Parts: sequence; structure tokens; C-alpha cells
Amino acid sequence: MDKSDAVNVQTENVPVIDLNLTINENPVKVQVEPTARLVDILRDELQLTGTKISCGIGRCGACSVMIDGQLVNACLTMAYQADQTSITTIEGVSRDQEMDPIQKAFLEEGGFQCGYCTPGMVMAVKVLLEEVPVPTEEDIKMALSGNLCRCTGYGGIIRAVQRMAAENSEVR
Amino acid sequence: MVNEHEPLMSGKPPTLPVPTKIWRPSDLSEAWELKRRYGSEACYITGGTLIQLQREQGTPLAEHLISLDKINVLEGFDQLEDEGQFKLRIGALTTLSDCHRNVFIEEYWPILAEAIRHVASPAVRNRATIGGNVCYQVGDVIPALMVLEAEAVSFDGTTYLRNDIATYIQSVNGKDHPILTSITLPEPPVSAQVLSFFKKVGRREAFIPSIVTVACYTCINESGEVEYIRLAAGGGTASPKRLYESERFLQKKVLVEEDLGRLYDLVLQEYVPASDPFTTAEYRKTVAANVIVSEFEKLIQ
Amino acid sequence: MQQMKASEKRNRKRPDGPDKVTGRLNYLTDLHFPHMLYGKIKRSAYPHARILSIHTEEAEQLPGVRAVVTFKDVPGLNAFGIVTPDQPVLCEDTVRYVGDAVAAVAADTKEMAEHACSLIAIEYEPLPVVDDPAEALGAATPKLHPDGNLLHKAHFYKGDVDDAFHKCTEIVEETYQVPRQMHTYMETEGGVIVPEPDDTLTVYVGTQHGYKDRFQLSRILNMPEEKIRIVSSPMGGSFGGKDELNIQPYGALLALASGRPVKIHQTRQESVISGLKRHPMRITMKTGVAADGKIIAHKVDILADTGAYSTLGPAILEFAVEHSTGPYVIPNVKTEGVSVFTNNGVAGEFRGFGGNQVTFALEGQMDRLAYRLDVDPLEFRRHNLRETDEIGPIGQRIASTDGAYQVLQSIKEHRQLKIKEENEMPDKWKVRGIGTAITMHGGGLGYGRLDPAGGRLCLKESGKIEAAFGFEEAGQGILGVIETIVTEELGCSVSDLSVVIGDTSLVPSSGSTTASRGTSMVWHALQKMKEPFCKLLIEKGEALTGVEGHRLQTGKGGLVVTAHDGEEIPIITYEELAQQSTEEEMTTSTNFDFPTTPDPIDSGHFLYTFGAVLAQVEVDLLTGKVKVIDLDQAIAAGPVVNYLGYKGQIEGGGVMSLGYTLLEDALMSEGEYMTQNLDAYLIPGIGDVPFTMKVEAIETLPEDDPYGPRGVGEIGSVAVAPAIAKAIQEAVGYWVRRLPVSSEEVLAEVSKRRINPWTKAMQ
Repeated sequence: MDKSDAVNVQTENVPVIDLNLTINENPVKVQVEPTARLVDILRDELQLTGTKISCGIGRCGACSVMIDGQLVNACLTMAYQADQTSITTIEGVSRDQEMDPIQKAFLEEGGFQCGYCTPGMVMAVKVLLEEVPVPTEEDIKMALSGNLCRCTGYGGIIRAVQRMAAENSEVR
Repeated sequence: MVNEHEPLMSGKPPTLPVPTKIWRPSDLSEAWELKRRYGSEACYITGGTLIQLQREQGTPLAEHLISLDKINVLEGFDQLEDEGQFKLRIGALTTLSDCHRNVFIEEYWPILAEAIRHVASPAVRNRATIGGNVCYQVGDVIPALMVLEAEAVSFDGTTYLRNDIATYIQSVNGKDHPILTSITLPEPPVSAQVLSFFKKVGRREAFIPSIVTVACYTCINESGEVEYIRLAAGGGTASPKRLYESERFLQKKVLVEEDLGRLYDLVLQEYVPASDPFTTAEYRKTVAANVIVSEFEKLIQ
Repeated sequence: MQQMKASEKRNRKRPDGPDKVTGRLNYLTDLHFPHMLYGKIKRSAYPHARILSIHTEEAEQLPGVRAVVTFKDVPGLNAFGIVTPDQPVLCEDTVRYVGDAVAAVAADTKEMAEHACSLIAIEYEPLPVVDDPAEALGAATPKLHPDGNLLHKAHFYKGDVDDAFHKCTEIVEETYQVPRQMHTYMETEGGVIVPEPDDTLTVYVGTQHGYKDRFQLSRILNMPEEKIRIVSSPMGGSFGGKDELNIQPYGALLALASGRPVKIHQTRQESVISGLKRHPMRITMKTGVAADGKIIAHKVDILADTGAYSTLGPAILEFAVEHSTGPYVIPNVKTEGVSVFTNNGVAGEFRGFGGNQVTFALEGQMDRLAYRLDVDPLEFRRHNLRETDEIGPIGQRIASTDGAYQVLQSIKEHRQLKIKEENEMPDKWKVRGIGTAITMHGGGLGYGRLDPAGGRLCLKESGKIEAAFGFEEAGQGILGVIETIVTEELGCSVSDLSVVIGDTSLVPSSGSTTASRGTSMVWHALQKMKEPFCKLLIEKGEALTGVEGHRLQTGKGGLVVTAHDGEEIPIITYEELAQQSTEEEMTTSTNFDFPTTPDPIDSGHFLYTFGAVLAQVEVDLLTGKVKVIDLDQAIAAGPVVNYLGYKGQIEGGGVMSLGYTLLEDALMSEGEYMTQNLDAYLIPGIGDVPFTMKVEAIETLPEDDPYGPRGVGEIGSVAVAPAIAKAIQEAVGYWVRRLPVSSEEVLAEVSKRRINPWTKAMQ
């Protein structure tokens, strides 16, 4: 047998692979086609519908999740690429009904309206603040450049991030 | 009369298309062999961000996807010393984010960092690779790599080839093109004054295909004379190219205001972009010429 | 009736907020049912063609396929359309745009459904494509509908313009062109349609008017309305785009054919191709001023491209005609509008409803005239502005309002401050300019159109006061509005309240969630229901507790008596009240119509909101690119119900129009979309918008105004384009005629002026 045989146990006639993931700190095993999109696996197979789907080509950020701590578009990630990774979705950001401070800031500053871009936006902000606790205007624009919002005009989102920045700079 | 689709005549029950098979070879020879074996039914994949875009647009996935992500030698950075010159080798599978974060790139090749900053979004840059951007043939990093005299190292099944970026990009069009394995950046020349820039103009501020990209690396000696110049432009569906005529015009020159008009004309002449439904070639030319000339104007005191 | 208090404190966190920011909220496209199938719609391969044959046999044989439907499977009327049903549900013999549906499939997986669609063989005979609205009415142009390509004509005549133009000292004539903007709601059309065991159908699909969908589906399915339940909320955005039916009929037909729940969720590409857009219009205006600086003549010609089917095309044209004089008093007006059928997609309802298009043209005229007269553009506007009790724009009486003057004054003061700001330019190739524009915008559907509203209050057995309205939550914040108004009017607390919307089985009809009418209608409903509802509760409370009714009032947690120090003393909780009542639940409901003008002038509005915009731009002289660095608005719409929601509507509407002005166009060529996803259809990203935007809310209404807060869903989007256009002219001298602004045209103008030394050298 070719040592470069196809991924995992996939053989010529079996189109599915065993995908081993850690999602929001829980081990998850699913059987899917290796080219299935991560966004479909999350939404359809695992019913983790907090991750949204909008453009399907990585241009809007509605499906943003973290893979091994990095922000990625779940619509651009194929199943085999996610194998053996640790994924955080919006469902993993707030635990036991306790909102993340970022979520509270979105709530109180009007950082959402229809809410459909919000999970992805929150993920992007979370990654930003982990890397840069007190971001500048340029940092915010860069970090959120892949997340589109049609309702707010970004005003409330910017205010939410700035509030977090202010809180973080006080802590320091 | 047009048949969008031939009605069923065979009598055989229809089936779903054959699912795509993913191969994850662990070294380059195997990758090469797989591609030879499956030919046009196979396609290399790294980050896959472009393939996913094309899939959503209606292009079916290839029957065989040969993922290069398990070939460890293709990822990461190596600092090399070659005849006393400092070089940085970037594995073709290194993500654009990792390139952007690299301290050497930031210090020695800032226009590459600038070019990367303008590619897509942070989330896409976390998946997309520098090799993928080069093989895309119209990627925004290409003009920057061109003016930095970057070298493309590729594997043709038996040997490693070393080419300049333009030559490698040309080869991507051919069947069985060599696999890009790394990009080597030589330390750029130094002089009394350096003018280097990367500019991208798009229809939106960020996450946007380019209308025009220009990159330049120019050394000016103590007497104000241009002694080294590399200038390249791309944008839209046009493959980025060096602007040799403009380079020749500027070489050995101490720039005066009267030269700007001539430079403007030269760029207009030799930069050949394409039109699309949103932007005309004429506009792209004017923008490229304006942006380049405005930068060189800074040399005139 | 009392006026609502102007209040800065109404800054409520939205009740739907926690579920939205945590991702817990289930949108209708997130739903999943046991044995659910996935549906796909097979749309036309041509913008205009005759269908010769449709073969579905092969698709039906694909394993996993559970239902395939074509026109033959439509039991009732094979057509839909809010006003005139002229769009086929499933085309039989002709397709008129690339989004026309020919067949639909339900299968076990999305992939199977998609592949089955590719196996449906349709034989077409392509027909000539009508893609230029200007040629749609030509004698040689193919007719797209039996009555030809003229969808609608609308006009307004007043005085004698031809005569008046002779008396003008200055006349400006210009033709303006505006693009096909896409709503780009982030959640594309979709949901699940479930056939219930009792032969009813539940439709979980977002829409702006559940009852209207129920009516339309009943007609298509030949099924009594009572057997159809529409759950229409929440939605991930709509902006007018989901008011018309979209995927509901296909999901319903497939669910009925397969007997299983069917989910359809369009991809973005499918949404672009099939979905509604804003009407592209070509507007020619000729406007003349007399020696005293008063506009005395205004001639307007509007050509609107509605595309393949009528949907709300006629109403939008009438709205555009009504708003083509804006807040100005002009004695001689001749406005003529035509909307035509073409093979270019379908244009329909979109935030602003035709107002945005004509306002761009009208305010463009105002700025050009002021420039010619060499007077301040805002001063010129004020000179021609309507007075408080002025008649409405098409001769109808309207609610008394100072809004026009208020917003104009506010933006004028703001501009003075802005001009004084010291601006350090980033480099010598950037120049800045400031522009302003104002507008007035009608709320509600207008005279002569059924515009019913209603609501219901009920003390449930659980002790919760249920406020039920037939509105939908699409992001605008109607839940927060209802919560605020009901708690304020009844004096109860949020925890006493349960708000129900968007489900035809639970709510009364409140009319469509459209035309900036939601907030206004909730307030009106409460004014009507408050007294009778409180009376019911108090009478019951008196009977149960013996406390005299006149001392009792509804308060936090239950009925209370107010002590001398103002403190509320609880008497009986709502829960006790509900549980100790032996009879039916205490319910009050109301039905009424949106206030209209007393004058029988069709489509005329009565309640108007006003907006003024200040835009500052930075133009790049090397590229012609325009960046908006300030976008501030003053709005007069009565009391603010929820400041956070209000500001969000204005900022969001503003940025949506920033996109309209600079970026967005669903470009078509020969009936095909040149852009099919968000890589080429560009909506503003965070880098394209001013980092801070100011919203000045002017809450004062004329004394004794009985109409309460007006809605602000649209007003923030209306006057943005002309303000940006004027700012560009201030910066580089270029007068924008066509949207989105072409960087190429701006750059050509800059080059003409030879600002760069090297282009000078070229000559």
C-alpha cells in the first residue's frame, strides 16, 4: 500500500472519513466526506448553529471560528483540514449562561441589530483582544476587515471594541 | 433551440458524482507521482481558500486533491547565508499570517509585509499560503516579490529548480508544472537612500481584489543618482510584470521635475492591464502611472 | 392623548440581545426537524426564453430524491406578487429573468438535491433580451407581458411649468442615474416548511408580513388560510427585501409532495440571482429659479427599471413622484414617472422606497442651483423650505411639522463647527470637501392603500401580560420598542411582560413590518388599548381585594396603590389576579388604520420624518478614490423610544447608503448578473466608514401633536448620497450624476484640471 494513501481510513469506495475534533473543549467524532465544509459539519451535523453561513467564500466572516486559537472562515475549511484540531465556536465563548465581557459590550453598545453577523464578529473581536488588548483604530479596522455587517454601519461594533479597549487599559 | 442538458437516453439510473479523494503525501516525490498518475483529474491544494471560492462559483472539485500540508519541509522559515549575503527562505506552505508576523520580513523586506497586509482578511491569511498566492498568478504579493528579486524554488519530480518569480509563474500554466517549494529572499541592496514602496488600489478599503498593485525598490547613491531599481505592477486579471522600460529610463538618473512626465508616459506605455465590468484598463494605467510618479517625485527636492 | 416624553434615558438593552450576542438565537434557517429534507430550486438558464420542454425523469430516479415539482404541481394560482400576482411560481412556457424558477427538488441531502437539479433537462428557445429600460417601450421591442412592457405611469402636475420656466433667471437641467442596489441581508432567504399531522402547514420562513404570506400561499396551494401557519421571525436582516415571497412556495410545494419537512436556505449566489433589488432609475430634472431666489418651476421625468415582474414597482414609482419636490415649496411642478418591464432581475421594496433615488436628484439640483447663484447651499434650501403647516408635496394636508426647518438648522450649525476644525491632511495628494443634504420621508403606505394595524394585550393565566403584534423582528429592534412602550404606558416591569410577534397562530394582524411604521403603530395601539385593558384589570382587582378601583393602577409586579410619598404599595400581583379570576383571560385588542391624509389624494402620506446629512470626504487625487470621513445626521422623528436602536438605525441606514453612493451596483449585462457574490458586490467594510458618526435626534413635535413617535427605519438612508456627492464637488469640482461614484470619472476631472505636474508635462 502506498504510504501516501488518502487521508485516514478513506478507501476507494468509502467516501467518508472519521473526523476527530475538539469543539469547545469537548471531544467530537463525526463521519463526513473529507471535502465537507466545516461550516456544514458544525451547523448540520452537530447543530451548532451559532456559526452562521452567508457568502460561502470567506468574504463576510459570518462563519468565523477559532481553530487552534486562530481565526478562520469555517466555509473555507474542509473537513480533512480540521482533523485533529481544537475548535472554538461562539457556543464556546460564553459558558454556563455567563457572557464574555465582549458579548456584554456588544449588548450594551448596540453592536448588533439583526444579529446574524454577530457570532462571527464576536469571534474576530475575541482574537483581536487576545493579541492586542488595547487596540488602535488601525488595529480594529484590520482585525475586523473580514467581517461584514449590514445593519449597524459598524458604529455600535466600534463602540463595543473601544469600550473593551478602555477597560483593558484600566486593568493594566 | 438550445438544450441546456441532454435528456436521459442511456436507461441507467443516475448516480451522484464520484466524491473527491484527498491525498496527503508526506514528501514531494509522492506528491509529484500522484499528480502524474491522475493528471488533469488531480489538483494540488494547500490552504484551499481559492479552491473553495471556485467551488462555490460552480466549478466542481477535482476528483483528486493532492494536499501538500503533510510535507513538513514546505513550511516555515530558514535563515541562510550565501556568499556572505543574508537570505530568508520561506516554505511555500507558510501562511500569509506567519509571513506577516515574521520579524525578519518586517525588518529587511517591509514592502513584502505591506503587500501581505493587503491580501484578503486576517482569517483568510491564516489559511492562505504564500505559495498559493504566487501560484494564483495574479496574487498581490507577486509584484513585491519581483522587486525584491525573490527566487522561486520548485521541484519537477527529480530536481529542484531555481527561477525568478516571473519565470516560475509562467511555468504554472504548463501541464505537470513543478511544485513550488520555497521562496528565497535575498537581502536587498543598501545605499545612501532607498525608495521602496508597495501600493494597492482597490474598489474598497480592504479585502478587495486589486485594481492596481505597484511595488518598487530603488537605491539612490550619495550624488542622488539612481543606481539600482526594480519596479513592478499588477492588478486585476493581469499577471504582474516588471516595468523594464521605466527602470531603464530611471537608471543612472538624477531625477528632475521634467523627468516625471516622461516616466508617466513610459508607465502608461508598458503597463498593460485588462478591463473588467467594473474598471477599465485605461483607468488602471492612469492610476499606476500616477502612483509611481508621485513616489518618485519625492526624490526631487 | 398625551405626548410621549422626550427622554435620553430610554436606552434599553434589547430583549433579543443576549441570545444574539451568544449565538443562542435560532434563526429560521437554523431550524432542524426529524426526517427533514433539503430543497433546491432550479432557476432559468436564460434571462428570456421560451420553454419547449421540461424533463424531470432522471432527477426523480436519483437515489435520495423525494420530490420534484414543476408548474404541473401547483394546485392553485401559479403566480405571486404582493399587489398583482404576475410572477410565476414555476414557469410553464416562458422565463423572463435569470431568477425565474422552473422546477424544485427535495432530497435527503443538499448535495443530492443540487445534483438532481443538474439532471433536470430543460429545452429552451432563447428570446431577445430586453435589458435597456429606455428601449422597453419601443415598438420593435419584444413584449414581456401580455399588456406590453409598461408597468405603471404616475404623475403630479401643479401650475404651469412651461410658462414658469420663461420667468426663471437660472435653470439647471441634469440627468441622474442610480444603480441596482442589493439588500445584502446577511441571512439569505430560507427556512423550513413543515407538513403537520392534521393536514396543516407550518411555514418557518422570514418575511415582513406573515399574514400576507399566508394569503399568497393559500392562493398558490389552493389551501384555506386557516390551515397555514406562518412563523416569520426572527430574520437576519431584510431591509424590504423579504416582504415579497421568496422561497416559501417551493418549500411548501415540496413539503406537501414529500410529506416531510423541507429546508431551503439559498446560497448567496442563488440569493443574488433570484432576490429583489433597489430600482435602478434614470431621473431627469429641470429646475428654475426666479430673480428672488425662489424655485418656481420643477420638471421631473423618472424612468424606473422594475425588471421582470411588478411586485411593488407601481407603489415605489408613486412614492418617488410624491417625494420629487422634497421639503420645498414649488408653485409649478410637472413630474412624470414610468416604470417598465425588462429582463433585468426584479426590483422591488427597499429601505427608502424610491425616496433615495429622487432625493439624490433633487438635492443635486439644489446644490447646482445654489452654485450657479453663488449662494450658500443650505441658505438656498431654507429660502425655499416648507413652513410648519404647509400643504404636503402632492397637495394633500399633512400632520403639522417643523421637521424640515429643525434638521436644516441643526445641520447648518454642525457644518459651521466642522468647517472650523483644523484638519491636518495626510499627504498632498488628498483633498477634502464637505457636503450637506436634507429630505422628508413619508411613513405608512399612503392614502388609498389598505394600511391596517392592530395589537392585543392579554393577562395570561401565568400572570404575564402578553403584548402581541403581527410584526417581525428583522434587526430593527421592534421587540425593544414594544417592551419600552408597553412598560412605560402600563407602568409594569419588563418581567411582567411577554412579547409575542411574528406567528400568525399567536398574533393579531398588524399589517406589514415596512414603511417605518412599526414604532408608530405600537405606540398608537397602546394609546387605544391602555385604558380598556387597565380597566379590566382594575375592576377585577377591586372585586378580589375590595380596594376601591379609582385608587388602583397597574404597576410593577401587579396592581398598586400610590402612597402620598409617591411609593407604589403592592395590592395584588398579576399572577394572583390571573389565577383568582374564574372567567376567561382578560384581553383587549384593537384594530385601526395608519393615520392618513384627510384629502383623497392617492398614495399621499400624512406623517413625515425629516433628515439632514453632513458628509465630509477625502478624495485621492492620484486615484480618484473617495473616502467618507464624516457622516453625521440630524433627524426629526418625534420622541426617541430607544436611543440605542434609533442611533443604530440612522448609522446603519447611513452606511448602507454610503455603499449605495460609492460601491454598490448589482451590475447586469444582457440580463445576466456580472456580480454573484460578496467578492464583487461590495458592501462597506469597517475600513470604509467613518470611525465615529454623530446622530442628532430632534424630539420636539408641534404642541398637541397626537401622533407620537415616528419610525426611523428608512430616514437615515435617504439623503446620504447627495451629501457625499456635494462633498466631492467641494473637494475637486466634479458634479456626480451617476451612482455609484466612478473613481475613473473623478480622476478624469482631476486630470483635466492638471493638478499633477506630470500630466501637465504630458500636454
